[in-house]
Amino acid sequence: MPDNLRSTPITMPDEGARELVVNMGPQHPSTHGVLRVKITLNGETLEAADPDIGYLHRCFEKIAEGITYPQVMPYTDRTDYVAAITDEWAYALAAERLLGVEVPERAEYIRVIMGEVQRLLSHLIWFGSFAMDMGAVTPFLYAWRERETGYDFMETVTGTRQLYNFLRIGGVRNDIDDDGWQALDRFLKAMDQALIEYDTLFTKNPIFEVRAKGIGPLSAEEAIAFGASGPVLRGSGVARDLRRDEPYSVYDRLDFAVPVGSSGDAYDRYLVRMLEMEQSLRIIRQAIKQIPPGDIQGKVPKAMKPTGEAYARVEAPKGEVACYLVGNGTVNPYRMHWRSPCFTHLQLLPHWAPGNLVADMVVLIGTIDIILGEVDR
Amino acid sequence: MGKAERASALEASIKEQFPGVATEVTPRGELVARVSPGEYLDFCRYLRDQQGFKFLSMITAVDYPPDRFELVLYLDAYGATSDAPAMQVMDTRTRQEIGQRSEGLLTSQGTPVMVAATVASVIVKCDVPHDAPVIPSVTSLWPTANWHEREVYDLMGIKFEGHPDLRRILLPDWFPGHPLRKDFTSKPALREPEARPWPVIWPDQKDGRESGE
Repeated sequence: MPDNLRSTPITMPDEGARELVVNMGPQHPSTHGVLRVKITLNGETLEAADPDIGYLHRCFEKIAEGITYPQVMPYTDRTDYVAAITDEWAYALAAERLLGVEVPERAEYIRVIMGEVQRLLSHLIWFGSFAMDMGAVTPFLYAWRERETGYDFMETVTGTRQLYNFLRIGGVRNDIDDDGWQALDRFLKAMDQALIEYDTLFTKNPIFEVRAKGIGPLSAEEAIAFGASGPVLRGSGVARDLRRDEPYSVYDRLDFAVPVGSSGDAYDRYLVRMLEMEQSLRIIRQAIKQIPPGDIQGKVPKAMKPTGEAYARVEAPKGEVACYLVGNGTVNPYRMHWRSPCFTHLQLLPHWAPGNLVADMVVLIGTIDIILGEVDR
Repeated sequence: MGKAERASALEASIKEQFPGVATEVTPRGELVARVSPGEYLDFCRYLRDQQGFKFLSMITAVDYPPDRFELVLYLDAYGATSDAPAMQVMDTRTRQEIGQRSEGLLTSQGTPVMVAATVASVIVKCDVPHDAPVIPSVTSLWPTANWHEREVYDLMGIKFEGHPDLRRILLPDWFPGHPLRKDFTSKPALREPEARPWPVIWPDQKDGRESGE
């Protein structure tokens, strides 16, 4: 990081110096929800950070034990509420593996299209709010403009903007109609143009570079040891993408690249996410070409009473979302566990914090792209 | 070598080192290993150090009353293998500078930090007795286990010996009981005692106003 561009941090004089403990959040605008971080300060330098989570906890896993398998689906929307499709997907995969249900090809392609649009939307929200966290308001407005066209598409297909309840065990709820395809086309065209604009606007912005380069460094070994996944792991140079490594759905028929960073700082994670958006556009275009006609719902047993267990994971915009499902022959899941990437990534805050400035804390929180609904479940 | 072959190779070497561990391979090529609490930490260390299971995906537990909890760990081994498709390293120049679209941005430049494909997955299962739910912590092996174990402690009540900071994570400190246990039902207890200024009416509880007292 160019030191001359950063002012010397204010520290407390040695005489009478003492630590100051400050609550950041749970109502702080940069904490993206209700995250409380207890930070210990010396002047404006962070000495420690202790995230306090659970403000949105509703014990979703316990709720799932009292309802039937299809009824769990809407609850999964509420974990990562800006990327609901991929969460539904993780649950649907787990339930399908448990029940041995086959999904028709057309439904798989619709899932891929919806999932990748969802990734774009999630990254757009991240891009806008990450820029705003660092004081740049304009990219936020740009990102929200394209996000609206994306939500138009989602609304046309599913009827709702954020919490879709669109996937079904063994298929999807409805097909994409003509209006939907047109809305998708508008969104793709808008995104093509927008990605160039974002790049011109933000990527080489000197203020952004100074704020993001060298902040929150993570080596490849550390990233793996801390259980990082998704863009956080790839930003550190580990080319791991579940869509490629453990292909689920029809991802093995689609051609896409896995962007990775090298230095593992906030700037690299930014670049990885921006490049992933391009890859998502590529995937959607291929899926539109390949999508076959046919059914959108596979055959499922009338009474779903599976036994055994299944572990299914998908590459969600934030990382590896996994669902562990245990059935005991009744209509209710015996146990369901939700592995959320944001929960895992939030452990990096105490690791990163010491030595950074208070202002960098918002960058650190922004760079892991947290959604508190998913952290707290 | 596919995942299933790797799993059977791993199965064979586990049989040699840990004869007491029962193993099976799932149709998806994951190895399920059942280990006793006594061997648990050693077995985990063996998996990480000798077999390369560096990535811990999750830790959770399932309650099987009245006798046991089942602790479940999901581990991945990353490997530089010929199976892994060619990796592309990002060039950090912008599109503007290159003057073209994404394909140009992703040309292979520099040396890859790590080519990683998931080459094998192991599900470690360990039965923890219900009356004394204590198990060694694996935070020394995988730092990510810290919060996962705190969550299991919070919601299931399993204590992890040697955990650096074992306290509740999602629920408040005053919360009675562990909600993911099958015997957890106490509705009135969900309210913080001192923050209960009005008589609370619960469906299963007689209140003063209801009974006319």
